[in-house]
Amino acid sequence: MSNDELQREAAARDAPLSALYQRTRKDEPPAQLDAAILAAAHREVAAGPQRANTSGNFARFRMPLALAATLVLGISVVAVVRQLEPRQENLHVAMVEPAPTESQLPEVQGSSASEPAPATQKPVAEMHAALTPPAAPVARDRLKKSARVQEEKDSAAEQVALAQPAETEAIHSSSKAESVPSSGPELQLALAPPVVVAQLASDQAETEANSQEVDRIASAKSSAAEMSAPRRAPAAMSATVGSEPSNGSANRSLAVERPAARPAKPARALKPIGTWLKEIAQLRVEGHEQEGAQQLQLFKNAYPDISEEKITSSLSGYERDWREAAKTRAVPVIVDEKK
Amino acid sequence: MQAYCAGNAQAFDALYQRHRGPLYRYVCRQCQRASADEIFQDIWLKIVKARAGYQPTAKFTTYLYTIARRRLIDHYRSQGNVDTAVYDESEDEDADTVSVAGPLQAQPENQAANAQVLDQLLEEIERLPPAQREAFLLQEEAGLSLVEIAATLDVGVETVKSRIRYAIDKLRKRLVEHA
Repeated sequence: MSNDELQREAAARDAPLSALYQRTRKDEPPAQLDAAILAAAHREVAAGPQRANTSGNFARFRMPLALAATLVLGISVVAVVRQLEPRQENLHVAMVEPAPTESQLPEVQGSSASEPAPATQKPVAEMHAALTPPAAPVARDRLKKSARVQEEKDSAAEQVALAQPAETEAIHSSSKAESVPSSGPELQLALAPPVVVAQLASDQAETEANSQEVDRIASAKSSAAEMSAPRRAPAAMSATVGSEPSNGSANRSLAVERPAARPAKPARALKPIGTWLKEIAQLRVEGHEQEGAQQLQLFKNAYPDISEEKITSSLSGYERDWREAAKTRAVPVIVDEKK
Repeated sequence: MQAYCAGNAQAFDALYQRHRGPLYRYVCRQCQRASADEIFQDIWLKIVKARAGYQPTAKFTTYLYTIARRRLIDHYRSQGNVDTAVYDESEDEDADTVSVAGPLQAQPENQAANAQVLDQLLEEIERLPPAQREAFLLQEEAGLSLVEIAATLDVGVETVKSRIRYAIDKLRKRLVEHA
């Protein structure tokens, strides 16, 4: 303590008063209070080291542990998101245009009960799947376009149905006889409005662009794909006949127009192997065993040089992936409820 | 205290014996006797509980009386009569009206034979403004220097010095008046 501080201490203290105060210092804490405090202190020492060490260790490692946990979580989330992104796009591609089979056609079938439709519906779905482009951006564009064009198609279909019942009857009779299978697409194009024709033309162009890689295989195997084309036309025509012109139901129009518009596309475009197998796996996982089996048969016809063992292993892998994807996220099912 | 933190219980006994009386009186002078025991025990239990995380950054006495002061403030608040303004410098300004220290007209020690004078002194200490009272008690009971009192009260040294001077002047003046 410096001299200044000593002088300050001396100046601050009043010696006589301090001496007087010292004589009042008689109060002491009670003995039981002393005993209680000392006992508590001894207890703390007896039980203390473990607690002190534990809290010290925890405090020492708390921050690094928190940082490590944050890093692991962040990296895991990024990895999972990156892994699932391409699958999601594939799902979009597969779901852009679902095949109008059991869920949509029964109403149409009910109105034309005499039609032997089941034999013709499945090839229509197969060609839908076969014509679906593999690239996700293309699929998104097509989804937008088809949503816009579909409304025009529906209204045009109603107008056509109301204005030309004679042609519809003619189609009906011809479909019953199945005498002119190749005339279905042309007739449908003729009945469709110009916008639909333009859309079909653009779809065809996209499909051709996307199928350049498989053209070589497709040309060699086009006979297998074209085998299903003649059966597709009667299906479209029977569906068209099934829609009652006077009712003009939007649901039926959708069920009618979609298969009717597809025959305008060329059958030579084949899907890539991976995309096709994924779709087959999806059908199997979703319980559409029959469709899956048919698709698989088509696939085997189109690619006979791929061994059965390889196909089976690929399918099992895709099915497993599909189940995992379905567990982790909701699969977007694009169904136009409005129509 | 460091020995006690290392697990030496006897070190705490020595520590306690050294500080128990001054701390007890420091508490008693600032609250009712009935509350003093509880507050005194709480202060020591806090010391005991803080054993694991104790870091010797200051003199133990400063540490002990800092805890005691906070516990007293908590007590005032729980009683509902806390007035934080009493710790402000305004109390010192009010004390300007008190006559500055001069020679005692009657030396208190000469009258100390009379126990009544001692009781009167304790009463006058209780009547002091809290800021001046705690500064005075920290000096007389705890034996802290001005710097240590300033650290305990978290104020400047000159402020502490001023508070003690005002407290002494008031006590002297009132004792003389009673005499």
